[in-house]
Amino acid sequence: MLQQPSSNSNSLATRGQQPVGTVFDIGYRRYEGPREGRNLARRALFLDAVRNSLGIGRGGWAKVLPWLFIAPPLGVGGIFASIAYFTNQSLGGRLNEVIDLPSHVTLFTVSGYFIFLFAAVMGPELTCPDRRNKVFDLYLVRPITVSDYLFSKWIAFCLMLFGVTILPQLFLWISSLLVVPNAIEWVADEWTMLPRMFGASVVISLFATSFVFLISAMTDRRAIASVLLIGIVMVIPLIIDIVTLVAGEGGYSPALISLLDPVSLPTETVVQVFFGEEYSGSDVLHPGIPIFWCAVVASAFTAVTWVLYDNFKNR
Amino acid sequence: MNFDLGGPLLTAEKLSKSYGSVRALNEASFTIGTGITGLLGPNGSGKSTSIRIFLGLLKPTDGSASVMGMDVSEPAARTRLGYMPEHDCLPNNVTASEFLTHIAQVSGIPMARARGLAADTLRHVGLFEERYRPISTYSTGMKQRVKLAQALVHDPLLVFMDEPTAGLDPIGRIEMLKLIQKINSEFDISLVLSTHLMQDVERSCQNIVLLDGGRVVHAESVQSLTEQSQTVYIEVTANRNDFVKALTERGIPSTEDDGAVVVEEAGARELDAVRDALVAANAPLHRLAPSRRTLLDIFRANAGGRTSAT
Repeated sequence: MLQQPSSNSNSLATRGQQPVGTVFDIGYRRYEGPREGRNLARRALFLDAVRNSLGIGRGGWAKVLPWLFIAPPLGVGGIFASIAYFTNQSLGGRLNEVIDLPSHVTLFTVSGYFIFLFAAVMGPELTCPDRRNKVFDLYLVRPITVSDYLFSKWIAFCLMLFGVTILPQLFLWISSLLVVPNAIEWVADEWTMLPRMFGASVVISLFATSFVFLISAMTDRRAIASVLLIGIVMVIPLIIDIVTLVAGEGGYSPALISLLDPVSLPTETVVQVFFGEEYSGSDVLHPGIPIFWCAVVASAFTAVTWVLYDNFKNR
Repeated sequence: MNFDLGGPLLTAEKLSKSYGSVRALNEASFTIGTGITGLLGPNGSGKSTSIRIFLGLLKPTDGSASVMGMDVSEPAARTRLGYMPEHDCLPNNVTASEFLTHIAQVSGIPMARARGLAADTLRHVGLFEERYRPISTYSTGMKQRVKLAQALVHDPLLVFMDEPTAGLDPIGRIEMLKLIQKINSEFDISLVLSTHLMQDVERSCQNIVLLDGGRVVHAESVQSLTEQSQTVYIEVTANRNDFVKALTERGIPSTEDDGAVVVEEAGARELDAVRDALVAANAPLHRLAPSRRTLLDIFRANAGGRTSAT
């Protein structure tokens, strides 16, 4: 274990009459450096969460799952941008006359499912193993609180979801920019799309994070949490469809029950609030209801998650 | 950090904790200073509850607990505490080096120093060569060392160890006990051992806090506890009855065991009386053998046979 300076004349240190190297037991040295407290602890937990959810610093297999779900929305955006650029070149700048690029609303609706799948698969990875392996106990005997732990992981995942949500939109925006004849004029007209994309991505990532963390807090098995999340995402739209079929199009029941869909609620909310489009219940519900409901649900999810974690500490 | 390093490391004052109608700790008051302290007691005596309160994982129902003068409710009170739990608490998919670096950072050590501290600590626990292997490939003994290393990586002043030798083979157990003594004597880190193994406590601990039913039964040094309870076996070659009579006259009760006169709880006063009685009875001394009761005997006596300690 510890190596002492050797007195053996045949040792490396004295062989050939020339000292070539001696390993000394330097003993235990007290740490006299700075102790930076909770901020550094939060940062360490944040970075660990980012590394875990993207598989950074892990083996090859740990990288496969996250990128399986990140790649499609990013790839779609990237492909749009590339096709737009090269095709526009070959068509002599007349691409916008030949094809229509998808709208931001369409992309939000389509990529929403990939984002939720990514959240469902990778979100539980951040917290479930900590509780299953009881590393959570080790964190809490450090100078941090349950709130520090949860906040760091929550923010890390939310930021990653935000990136996964906004990047395809940015690619699409750039694609559109590449095919217009007058870029400066187009940017002057379309720059407002950027804060809209930003706002929409914030809402979707906040909602998805609060939803994923709540379900992850209910079990310490990552796979069960993922299956639960995917099940909810798949089953609730089916229920909504059945209710709509029974109650008929229009009316309060389908509109109200559509507010329970964890995927379409934030997506339709942002479509309505940030892009001025109608949502499924817009004919009967006040326009402010979905965004209000979205905020209430996300806050409730987060509060319940915190209470569950505080109880884990006391077990 | 406003630690009071001049006083006791841990102070419990009338500490109580109830879980519904069950009272896990009942106005327990004790202090723990430097050195190695054994926290002993049968199941349900309040050992784990005490540790969890000091680590800030539980709030006491009543009373107060402080770490180096700082109330345990302050997260900063845990800055210089380490904890080695009994149960498994290690992630499987990372290396020991990576895990310890991360834990050091969560303890407030900057990244630049955390890596070095992780490597040093793994060297001290004998895992330097294996530090880049995933923890899932380690043996039970190696995992136990990683658990100890994570408790030491931020250079604590006090480490709580919950059943540190649990699940180890005899050689692993001896090595762990040596490591515990080394941590105290060479690293100058104090330890609180919560264990059922009396031999571990007798072998390693300087102080003991004995809990039973949530109350503190003993809180003193192991030496003084066993000294107070030593038994003396005396054999004389003649005048045995006169010797027993002389002892009785001096207020020292005695019994007989296989020809020897036995004096229980023989402290300094009792030993002086034995000497005087031998002289007074003119009884030639053949053998005088002090025999201290083991912690297990004391523990059994206090626990009234309810103990599961071994």
